[in-house]
Amino acid sequence: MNETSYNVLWTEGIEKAGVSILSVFSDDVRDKYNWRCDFSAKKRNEVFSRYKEIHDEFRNKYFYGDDDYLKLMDIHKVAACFAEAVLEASLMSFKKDRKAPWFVKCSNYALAFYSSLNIMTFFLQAEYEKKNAKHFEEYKKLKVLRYPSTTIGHDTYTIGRIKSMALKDIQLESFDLLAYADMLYWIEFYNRQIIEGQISIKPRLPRA
Amino acid sequence: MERSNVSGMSIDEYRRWMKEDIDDLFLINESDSVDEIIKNMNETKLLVSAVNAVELQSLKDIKI
Repeated sequence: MNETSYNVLWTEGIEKAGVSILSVFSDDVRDKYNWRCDFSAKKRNEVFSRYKEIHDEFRNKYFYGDDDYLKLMDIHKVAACFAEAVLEASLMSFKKDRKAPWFVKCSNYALAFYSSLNIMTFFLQAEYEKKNAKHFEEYKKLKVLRYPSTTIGHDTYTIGRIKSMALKDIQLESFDLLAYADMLYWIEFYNRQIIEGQISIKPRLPRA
Repeated sequence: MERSNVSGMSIDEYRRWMKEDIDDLFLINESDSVDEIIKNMNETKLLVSAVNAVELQSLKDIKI
C-alpha cells in the first residue's frame, strides 16, 4: 500500500471514526474527562508504520512462503491489520478517572473497531461503484452500516464486540487477526444481503 | 490442565512437526491491489458510516 492510498484510508476510515465516536457524548462529557483523539501527522505515521509491520508478519505467518511475498490479501484482512495498528497507536486519550463512562475508557477499542469497519465499507463502496450502479444507489441509501440484532438481555452487537476486544486485551490475549477478519467478512455479508435485496430488516424496537 | 498429546506427540512436538508442512495450510486468498482500487475510485469520500447512532443509543443512558 502506498502513502497516497493510506492517507485516503486515514481520512475516510480512521479520522471519520474518531470524530463519530467523540460525538457520542456531549461537549460537557468530553471536557469533563478531557476526552480527545490525536489526529496529528505523528500518529498518522505511527499507525501506517505499525500497519505495515503487522501486515507483513500476518502474511508471512498465514499465507504463502517467501517466494510469494507479493501476493495480496483481501480487504477484510487488510482492515483487521488496521484494527490492530490503530489499537496499538492509542489515539484516544482521557483523564484517568474511574468515574469516566466505560465507553470513554474503552474508546481506543471502539476506534480500532469502527476504523476497521469504515475501511472495509470504503472498499465495499468501491466495488459497488465500479460493478453495479443499482447496488451502488442502494448502498448510498444505507447511510450507516447495519448490524445483526441481539436478544434482550444481551449487549447490542457493536457494544458486545467492543467490550470483547477490551476484555481480551486487558486479559493479555493477543489480537486474533484471523478471527477478526472473519467477523468483518460476516458484517459485510450481512450488509450486502440488505443492499442487494436478499433480506430486509425491520426498524429496531426500543429495548425493554 | 495441560493440552493432551496428539498421536503420541507432546503439543510442542506436534506444533514443530506441523510447521514443517505449513504450506499445506496457507490461506488461499487473492485480492486486488488496494492502491489500484483507490486510484480507480470516482468517489473517495466514505458515504456509509460504520458508527451507527441507533446501535449506540444505550450509551446515552449512562449516568455521567
